[in-house]
Amino acid sequence: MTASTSGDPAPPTEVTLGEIFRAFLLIGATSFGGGVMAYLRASLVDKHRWIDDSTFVQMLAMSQSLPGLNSTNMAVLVGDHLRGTAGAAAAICGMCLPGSLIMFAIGTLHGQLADRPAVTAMLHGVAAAAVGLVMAVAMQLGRKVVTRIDDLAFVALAVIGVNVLHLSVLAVLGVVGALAIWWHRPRAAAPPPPGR
Amino acid sequence: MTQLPALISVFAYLSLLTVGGGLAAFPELKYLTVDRYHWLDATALIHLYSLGQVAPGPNMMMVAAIGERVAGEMPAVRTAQADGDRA
Repeated sequence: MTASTSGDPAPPTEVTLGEIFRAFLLIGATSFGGGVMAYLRASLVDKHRWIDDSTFVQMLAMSQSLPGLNSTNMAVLVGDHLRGTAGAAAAICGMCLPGSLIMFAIGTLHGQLADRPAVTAMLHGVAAAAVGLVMAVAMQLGRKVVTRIDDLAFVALAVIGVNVLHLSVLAVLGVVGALAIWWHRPRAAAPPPPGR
Repeated sequence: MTQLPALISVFAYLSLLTVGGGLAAFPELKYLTVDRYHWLDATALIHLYSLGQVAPGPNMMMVAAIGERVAGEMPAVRTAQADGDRA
């Protein structure tokens, strides 16, 4: 089924499965440091012109709000848009192949070399850098999403639930998510929101 | 090889939790792989996660390295697929 995002015009020219696979293989092999979306946009919108900017943003929103990795969701949506199910399979294989092969090799090496002092020191440095990257992502997301003081209460509840009480993420998502939805429910006449 | 069904079910479940990005599932990833199944220790998980940030492609391809640790060559492929294919 090609009509993943209804109302989109069909892609201008027929794109072959090989082209889809190669484009996503290149993205999978060159997108260092987690900014896969930027690489996707540069390739799909600017370079190949397979989708336009508004379609990209629409697909991005779907990728982020559905379960699964954002970048692999995106590969499935774009591949499906271009060539249906086979296109989706070509896109996800291309996207995942380089990284998983490299991580497979790294996993083997890590198992054999992790005890050596030089390797331990290097891994320590990489881990510190990864913490920095994770914090950067959390801050970017926070600036966009946590816009009211009372939102911080839900942030705190989620942290306490996972890190202090060691509840399962699924339970925390269910309870805190439901609370947050109830708190932010649309209200009829607008009394000033409490906690502000 | 006997861990294969557990690998697939753990990562398929984690995949359903990653709403908004792979990072969302990290606490559960740590709990399941380290505390519950003892596939690797916490330090190794943090090392592999960090290396996943450095390697190209989606960062969560580091699950291939966990699969490789648990049961050798084939499961690494399955693990990556289970995490990637749920769209």
